Amino acid sequence: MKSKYVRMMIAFSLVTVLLVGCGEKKYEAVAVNEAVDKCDICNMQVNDDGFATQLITEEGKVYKFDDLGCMNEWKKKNGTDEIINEFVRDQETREWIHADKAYYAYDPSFKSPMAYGIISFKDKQSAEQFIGEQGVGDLMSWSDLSSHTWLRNKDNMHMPMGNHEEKAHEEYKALDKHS
Amino acid sequence: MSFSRMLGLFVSIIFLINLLLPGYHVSGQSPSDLQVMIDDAMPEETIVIPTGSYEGPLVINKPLTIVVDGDVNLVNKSKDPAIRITADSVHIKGLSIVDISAKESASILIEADHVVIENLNIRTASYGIRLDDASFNEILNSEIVWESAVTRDAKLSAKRNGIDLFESHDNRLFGNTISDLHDGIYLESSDRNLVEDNQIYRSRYGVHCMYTDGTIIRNNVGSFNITGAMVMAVRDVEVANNYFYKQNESVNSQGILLFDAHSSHFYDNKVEGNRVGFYIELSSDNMIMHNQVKQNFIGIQLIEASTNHLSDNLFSGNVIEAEARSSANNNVDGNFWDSFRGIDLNGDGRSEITNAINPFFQTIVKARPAFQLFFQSPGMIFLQEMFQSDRQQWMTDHSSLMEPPADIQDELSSHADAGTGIMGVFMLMVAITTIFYLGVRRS
Repeated sequence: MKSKYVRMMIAFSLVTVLLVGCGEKKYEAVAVNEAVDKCDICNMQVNDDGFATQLITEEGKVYKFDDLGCMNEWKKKNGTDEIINEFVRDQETREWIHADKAYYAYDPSFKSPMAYGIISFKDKQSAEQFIGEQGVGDLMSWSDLSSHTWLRNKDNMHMPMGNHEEKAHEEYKALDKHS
Repeated sequence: MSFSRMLGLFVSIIFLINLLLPGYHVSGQSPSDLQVMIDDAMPEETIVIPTGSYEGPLVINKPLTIVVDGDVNLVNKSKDPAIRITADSVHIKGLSIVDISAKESASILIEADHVVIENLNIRTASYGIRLDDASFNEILNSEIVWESAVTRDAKLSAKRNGIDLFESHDNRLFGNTISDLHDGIYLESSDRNLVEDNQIYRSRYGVHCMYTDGTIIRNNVGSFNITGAMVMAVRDVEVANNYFYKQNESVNSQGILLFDAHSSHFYDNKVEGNRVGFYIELSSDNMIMHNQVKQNFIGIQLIEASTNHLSDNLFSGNVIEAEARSSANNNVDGNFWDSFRGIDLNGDGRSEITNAINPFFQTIVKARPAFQLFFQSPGMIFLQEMFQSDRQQWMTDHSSLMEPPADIQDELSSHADAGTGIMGVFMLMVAITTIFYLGVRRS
């Protein structure tokens, strides 16, 4: 009788612990720490500025990036199935906002850490105002970005770069087979 | 009266005022004094600025040579550049600039070609020297430091770069000393620039290339930066004979980092006492030869790098000599690894036993970063030795050198000789004398 009681207690507390554990899992944005955070794609320091982005997976793992373009690279590499939340920052207030609710200003001439030239804003109005001040730039929503070319500054000038690279690879492979 | 004579008179009057009223120039001459001199000068004239403290900002919009007679301080409190150069062939020499307001514009902004900046001393709370669409310029023997009086505890991201190039080609940066800034020298979308004999301390990255072709980084020295040379998204870059030591203050620091770097040459560099000596990711077709990688925490780390050629490098005294993940397809033959015990059967100075780099730890850490705590723990080493599958996919040195490359060996032995030898003899003498005179106590 007693052992049954104990067993039940253990089972109960186990379930409680598990439930509490589940409840703890939050998918909220975490602060950038310049001393330790580096971009998961390009290895650069993540600056605590308006360009920092982050995504959080189902497991609760947080990946931080120095530029929205690097977050896009991560998604290309790892897929989007496990992503719960994606955050970008408002350029002015630096507050974290859900990436799909933000508005974006893009122009190849805009400076960003990896030169993707995309700047995020919390609302349409501030993005439009920024574009107005700069005199150049396209207003984009999150869905517009899915069809974005993600060209980096230099790519605009040297379009054939990618091709050249593939060619070099093939040449090397051919050499490798020979030897 | 000709124009230049008038100017001469003007200059001498200012000089006289300076002599007669020694206190006058300290409080600063009227802001426009220097600008008036510049505006009045004929193109290609030489202006000699007498000793004194002047106020910026200045705009130079015609080819001029500006030199100083004594100590000349240019103090800029405005949001504009202390000196903005919009005309070709301007030559400035010997000025000291104190630019105290934190802002987006640089202390010196060059938007022209064939400009020479020489022996300048710049204290900036922004960019030191910025080149925007400017080519064939020279920045020589200048010193750029962070103006700490106003913004002492600025975060790294609040600081700006020492010398910043954007879409600027064929420039020469030589003999400059840069400290306590964001990136010492930053090159973006700029080709064929020569970065030579510069020294960069306590900044974020020493030399940082982004989207550049044909950059040459040679004979530079860097220490206490997060990374000595950050070579990213480049091709045909040459990084040679640089010395990057003690990049170890940050958890993410390294001597030389290659990311998305292709067809580039890295040779004769010394990376010493860094957290990671060489970090190579997503890079291909690079020649990495004859470098000395010493006393780093990790000597060389390759992540998803392929078709690179590494040979004749010296890896010595590193806690871990190499780590590699998904980097099978590199040609890593004929390096010296001092922790590797090879066997040379045929006497050609190369080991017949291969030195394969186990990717186990790197792979685990990639999935679970917290497991870095088990770095080199006995359990982890045991597991690593158990893990032998896919061995042909590991990065492998098939012909490790039995001894360091001959010329590096010479250099190493000549270093140790004199000082250490004399010290040793001296200490031996002291010991002998002590024993001789004091004797040995017998119980």
